[in-house]
Amino acid sequence: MAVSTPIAFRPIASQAFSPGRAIYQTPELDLANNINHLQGFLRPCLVSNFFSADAGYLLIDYAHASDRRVHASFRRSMLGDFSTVLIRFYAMSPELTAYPDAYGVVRFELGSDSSKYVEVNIAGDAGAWNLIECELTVDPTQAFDTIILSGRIVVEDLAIRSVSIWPKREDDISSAPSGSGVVGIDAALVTAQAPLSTAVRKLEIANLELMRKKRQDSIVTFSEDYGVRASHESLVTDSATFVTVAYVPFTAKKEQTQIEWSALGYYNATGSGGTIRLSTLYMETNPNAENEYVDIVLPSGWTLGAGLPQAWQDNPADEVLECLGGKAGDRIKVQLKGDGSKDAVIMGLCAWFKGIS
Amino acid sequence: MKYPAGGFSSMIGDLPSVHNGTPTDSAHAHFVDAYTTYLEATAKYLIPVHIGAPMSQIGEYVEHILPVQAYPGSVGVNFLCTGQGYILIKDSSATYDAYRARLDVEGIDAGFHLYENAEWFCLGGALTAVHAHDQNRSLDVGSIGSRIREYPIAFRIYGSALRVHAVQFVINPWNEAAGELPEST
Repeated sequence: MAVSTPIAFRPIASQAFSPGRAIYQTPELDLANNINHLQGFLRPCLVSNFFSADAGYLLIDYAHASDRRVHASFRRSMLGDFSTVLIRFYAMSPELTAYPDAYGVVRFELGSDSSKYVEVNIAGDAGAWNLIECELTVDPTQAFDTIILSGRIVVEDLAIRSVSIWPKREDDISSAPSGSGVVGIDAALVTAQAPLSTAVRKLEIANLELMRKKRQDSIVTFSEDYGVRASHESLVTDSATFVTVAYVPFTAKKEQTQIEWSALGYYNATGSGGTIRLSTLYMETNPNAENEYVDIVLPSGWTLGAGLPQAWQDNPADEVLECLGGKAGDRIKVQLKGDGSKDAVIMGLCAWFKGIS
Repeated sequence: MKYPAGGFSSMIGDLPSVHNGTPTDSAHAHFVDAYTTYLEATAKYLIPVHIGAPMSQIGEYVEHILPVQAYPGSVGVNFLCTGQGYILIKDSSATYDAYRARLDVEGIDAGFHLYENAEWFCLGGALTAVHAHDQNRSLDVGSIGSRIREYPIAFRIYGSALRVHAVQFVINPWNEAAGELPEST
C-alpha cells in the first residue's frame, strides 16, 4: 500500500506527550505524518558546482556542432529512496538571438545506463543567465554512479555557469521497506490502535535512524569544464613533489566517520607520473587511523569526445577517508604531483559521507 | 516539537528500548518527536564546498541555486580569498531578500595569489532589520512560515588593481535561532 509524503510538517506541542495523560490519536497521526514527510523532503544536495576556469564558465562552442561532446561529470553514491533527481543550471547564449531557429542542446546522462538521459533545448536569450530546470531518472541501487553533462550547438556558443542536483521528492512511498529500508507509516496503523503498539513506535524510531544514517551529505562535487584549454585547468601541477591544491573544510555529524570519494584526472604524458593524494586532519594526526593518506595514480592522456575521456576512480573499500564524527574543524587536503616536467591534472573530485552502518 | 531540537544531537545513538509493557510511553513519543524535529529543522544539509579556478575577474558574476532544508534562519557565505576588494552577494530572485550584502576582502598576497596564503572571509550574522544595501550580513530568507526549498544566490567580485581572487566558497543555510516553528507548507 502506498503512503503519501505530506507537504506539511506539523510541529507538535510538547504537552501532547506529557507523562500521566493519554496520548491522543491526533498528535500520534501528526507524528507519523511528520516522519512520512521527512521521507520525501530530507534530500541532501548531491551536486553543487560552478565553472570558472578559462572563459569563466563552461563553454559549448559551435566548432563541434555535429558531434555532441562531454563537458563535465559528477559522481557519487545514489540515495536508495529516490529514483529521480532535480537538475538546475544557469545557461546563457546571447549571440544565438540572431538565429531564431537555432538552439543549443544540453544533455544529462546517467553513467550506468545511457538510456537514461534528459535533453534540454536552449534558445538564444540576450538577457542575463537563465535558470534551466530538468529531471533525470536515476538508479537508486547504484553504489557509485556518474551524471554526465554533454552538449552541442550549431551556431554561436552556449555558456553554463553553475549546476546543482538534488533528489526529487517521491509523492508516494511504499509501506514495504524502501531501498534504504525505510517504511511508510500507514495512518490505519496509528488510528486503529490505542495506545500505539510497540511495533509501530519501534518502526518510527527505525525509520528516523535509517534516514539519518543513509541520506548522507556531499562534501565536494567538483568538475572542471573538459573543454577548457590545456594548461588553463585550475587544479594542475608539474611539480615532482606534492603540492596542495585545495583544502575542503567539512563538519562531520555524530557517527559520520568515513568519507567516500571518486576522482577523475590525467597525466599529460605516457606512463603513470601523476598522482592525487587525499587526506583528512584526522588521518594525518591520529595513529588509530587506518591510513595516513590515500594515493590515486592518474591515467595517461585526455581526449575529448562523446564519452568520458577517462574513467572515474572510486575509493577501494579499505581506502575511504576517515574523520571524527561529531567534530567540526576537519578538512580534506587535496595534493597533486606530476613528474617535474609533465602536468598532472584533476578534472573531477567528489567526496561524500559514507552511509552509517 | 514547537521549537528546534537544539540539543538533540548529543542523544543520537542512545535509542530508547521500546517493548511491550514498557511504562514510559511518554518518553518514547517525546524522543520520536524530538528526533523528527531535529531532522526537519536543526540538522541542516551540508552544501558542498566549491573548489576549482578562482573567480578573479573584476565584475565576475556567479548565479547559483541551492536546496535548502526547512526553517532556515538566514543564508551565509564564506569565501577563501587573496587580494583586496569586495564581493557583493544577493538573493538573485529578490524574492526573500531585496538588499545586497557586501563582504570586504582585505587579503594578503595580492600580487601572486598563492593558495597557501588565502584567508577565509565570512559574511556576518543576519540582522533583525535590514534597510539598506551593502551591509556585512547573511542573507534573509523571509518568513520561516513559508517554507523555502530552493534558494537562488548570486555574487559579483569587485577589486582594485590588486584584485580579489575568490578561490573557494562555502554556502551555509543557518538555523532559525529561536521562536516557535510554524507549520511548514
